[in-house]
Amino acid sequence: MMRRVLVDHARHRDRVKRGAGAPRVSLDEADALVPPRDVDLIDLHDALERLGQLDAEQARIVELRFFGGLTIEETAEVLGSSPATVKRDWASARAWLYRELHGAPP
Amino acid sequence: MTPERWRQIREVFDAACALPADERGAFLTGLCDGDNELRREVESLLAASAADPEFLETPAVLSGLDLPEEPSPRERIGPYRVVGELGHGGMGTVYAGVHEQGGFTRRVALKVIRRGMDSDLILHRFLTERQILASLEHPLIARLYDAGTTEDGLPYFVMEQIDGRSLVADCDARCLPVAARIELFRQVCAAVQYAHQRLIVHRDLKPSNILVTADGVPKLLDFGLATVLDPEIAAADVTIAGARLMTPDYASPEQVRGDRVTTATDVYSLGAVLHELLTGRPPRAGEPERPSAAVLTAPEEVSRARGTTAHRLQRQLAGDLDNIVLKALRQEPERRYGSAEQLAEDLHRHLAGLPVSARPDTLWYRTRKLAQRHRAGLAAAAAVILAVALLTVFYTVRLARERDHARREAETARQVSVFLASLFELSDPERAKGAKLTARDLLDRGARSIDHDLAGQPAVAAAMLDLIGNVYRDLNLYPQAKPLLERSLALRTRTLGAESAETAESRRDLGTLLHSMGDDKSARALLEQALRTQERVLGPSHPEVAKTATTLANVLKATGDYSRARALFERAIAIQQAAPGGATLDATKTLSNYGLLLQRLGDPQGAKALFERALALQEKLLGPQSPTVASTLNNLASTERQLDDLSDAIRLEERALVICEAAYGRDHRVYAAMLGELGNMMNARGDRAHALELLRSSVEAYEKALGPDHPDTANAVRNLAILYAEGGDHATALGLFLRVLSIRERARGPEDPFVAQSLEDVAQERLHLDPAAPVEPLLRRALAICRGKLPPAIWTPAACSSFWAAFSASTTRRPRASPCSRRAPRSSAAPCRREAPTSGTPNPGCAPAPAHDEVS
Repeated sequence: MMRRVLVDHARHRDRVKRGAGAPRVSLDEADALVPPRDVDLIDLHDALERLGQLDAEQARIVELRFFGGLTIEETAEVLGSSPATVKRDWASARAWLYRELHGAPP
Repeated sequence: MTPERWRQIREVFDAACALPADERGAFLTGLCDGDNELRREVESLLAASAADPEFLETPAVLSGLDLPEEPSPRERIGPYRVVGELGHGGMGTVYAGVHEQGGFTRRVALKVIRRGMDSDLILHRFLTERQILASLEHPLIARLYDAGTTEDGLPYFVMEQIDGRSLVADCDARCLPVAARIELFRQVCAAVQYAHQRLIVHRDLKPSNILVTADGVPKLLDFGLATVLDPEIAAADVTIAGARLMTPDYASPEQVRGDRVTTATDVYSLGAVLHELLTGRPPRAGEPERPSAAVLTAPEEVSRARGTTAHRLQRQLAGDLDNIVLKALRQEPERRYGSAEQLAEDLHRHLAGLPVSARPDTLWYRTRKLAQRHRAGLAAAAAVILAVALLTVFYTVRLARERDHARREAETARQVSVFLASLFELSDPERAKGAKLTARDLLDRGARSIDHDLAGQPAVAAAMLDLIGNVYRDLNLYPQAKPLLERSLALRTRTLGAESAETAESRRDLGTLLHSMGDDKSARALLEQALRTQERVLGPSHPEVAKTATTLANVLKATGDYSRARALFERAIAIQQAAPGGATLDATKTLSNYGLLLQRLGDPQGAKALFERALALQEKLLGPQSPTVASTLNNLASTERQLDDLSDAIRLEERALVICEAAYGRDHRVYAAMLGELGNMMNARGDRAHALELLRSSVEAYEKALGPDHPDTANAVRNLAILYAEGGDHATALGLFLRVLSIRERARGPEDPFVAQSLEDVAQERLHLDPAAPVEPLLRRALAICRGKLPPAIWTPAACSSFWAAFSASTTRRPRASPCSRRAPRSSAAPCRREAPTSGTPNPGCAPAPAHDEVS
């Protein structure tokens, strides 16, 4: 759900940004709290759909961790799994998604 | 890839991850057993995993997505009731708030700054800058009133609430053509220029910070906020290091780099806003394309919203407007327009068909402009080639002269801007200390460096001296202002002669200052001469003539030459009413000051009408909560009081007080004066308890604002003493009168008329306490001072005779006689009465409070 909201928000933002006269916000928002990582939310969403085809549980972990802001332990609790498993699955999911979004590093 | 294959890859990947990096190669060779594709997959995942250790590790909610913030319902912010949310973005959330006090409701916008900034520092800085922010009074700039901290510790700002649409949206909705957009934009430039002259840079100009009201008037939001929310404050908290108050699409290159911003930064942002006004979108970062090229790729709505076609729009923009926009958007600050004013001037020249500065001045370009401007003339002359040639020569010569003059002026203006901008540069030691510059620092620094930095440029130096001197005067820093204005006058007299328009300006500004300082004799001479020069050089109906006439009229009023003062006010009003472009702030000042004169002349009806006219204009130009509005309300209240409408007077005064509290805070002399005024009104209404409370607060406010030994504080103490005396508490009153006497003797010397007044006060109270008290020496001393010092205009015969009656009464030990009748009705012309805080009279006993003082 959280992810849906976020992605819809990003899509909306993208749309208004391309149109004329969209209000633009100052850069001193939460952006500034943490330097924004270069994540295109819509591409990530699409990649996550593909990951879900390979392993639904892993996609869920990414959703909870990245979109929900849950820790490894909290994610394990939500999924009824162990933190060690979540940590392992998270690592490979991250690597896979990175490769999907940025291509294989040289 | 299938799920099965993925599971296989993951197992190998997981196992490899658990190993040290240098063992992984051997491990994979052993495990993959010839499955090269599996090995490649795992290796590429391992590389991906190491490529960015932070990838996805920061949850989206923190990583820079501008999510709608969870609405935390706020019901109150400080003393304000929240009635709605106006917007969200930028630095936090903006709420609509109301403040109910004294039977009327004040609407404000409340900007709550998001978490992460240091509230104490922000508040501290706001208080430091408050004087300067309060002086930022411009019809097109939304006011920043106050700052505070919410219950949960977030800083908030109280601002003028503006109902309007964002600049671009408004122009599009009204389908404004290019010329109308430029006219609107030029007004914005003028407001920016005004703030720059007070050394306040906006730093975040963008269409959404420029609202257009239903009347089509642009209003700039958030001016002054950057001064308070300096990024260096934010840097105090490491989590927000690097946060800058800016919006990427409109931010200048130096801002993006994090270099120091100057007035040129705002010029860039103005260029970006203009780009969007013309083409429908902000400029591309880096090397912006020509607006005329940008519109060709724009959607059709863009040209339609400008009432034209894409092709026509392209032609309108090509040439001058391309050059103007690109000049404002230059990467190097020093290659942009030197000021917002110059940008506006070039746009004006474009609209008028004159050559613009943003264009190489080729012969071809000049000729083409000439032909455009005189199309009819040239067409007619075309029949006679000789005529064409002559005309061309004529116009070219005249044009060259025009241009030379314009260039000289433009050069001075440019140099002033360069100098202003240079003031923002920190020297190395300052940078090392992490110094933050307040606007006041910048002013002081400017004043100090004029001699050194502008030694070879007398025109620029004189303009700067005049500019900074006037800002000091606006801030009531008279001793700082005086040497600057004197030097400006001397420099201009030496380089331009005694009779130039510039010299007259300096003379007028110095005269205005001297009048504020009480030296009306010198002020009058300077102003008379300035007026003569301006009438001759600028013409008799120039706005500058009206401005000087008003100031001179104030001086004449102060020196008792009422009929001439009246004539000058009438003349200034006539000029200002006829001025194209409608009423200006200067016009409202003339109306107010004329009203004060009529009030003095015993015509409260006439005064009331003038104050009401001024009030309506000021509310329109400055918004209902400006300190200028408060001052006019205060004037209006005093006329209502003269007209015996006490409840109206109290209502108006309460409104004025609330505005002043917001604009200046509680420890400001204007606020203190208004408290005293309201106290006197309450007393007149018979509400003694309330009056006592207000007058006590007034004394406290004066003590905080000016110190316990200031003559104005003494006046406030005296008002309080009178209240006690009237209530029969003569012991308390005597104590207070003695305090007033000692302050006055120290501050003004033993021979001052004020001291006479205090001697008389003390004598009277002592007689009340003990009819046999030996007061004769006190009264003899007072009488000696009055005889020697008081000019007849101040010490009226009535006052003198009542004083004398008191004196003889004291010698015959009759305590009831009341000298210099403190309790005489307020409307009489006798001077030494308790109207002290607001009368604005030249009467030394009754120092005028600034709130009610004439406006210069």
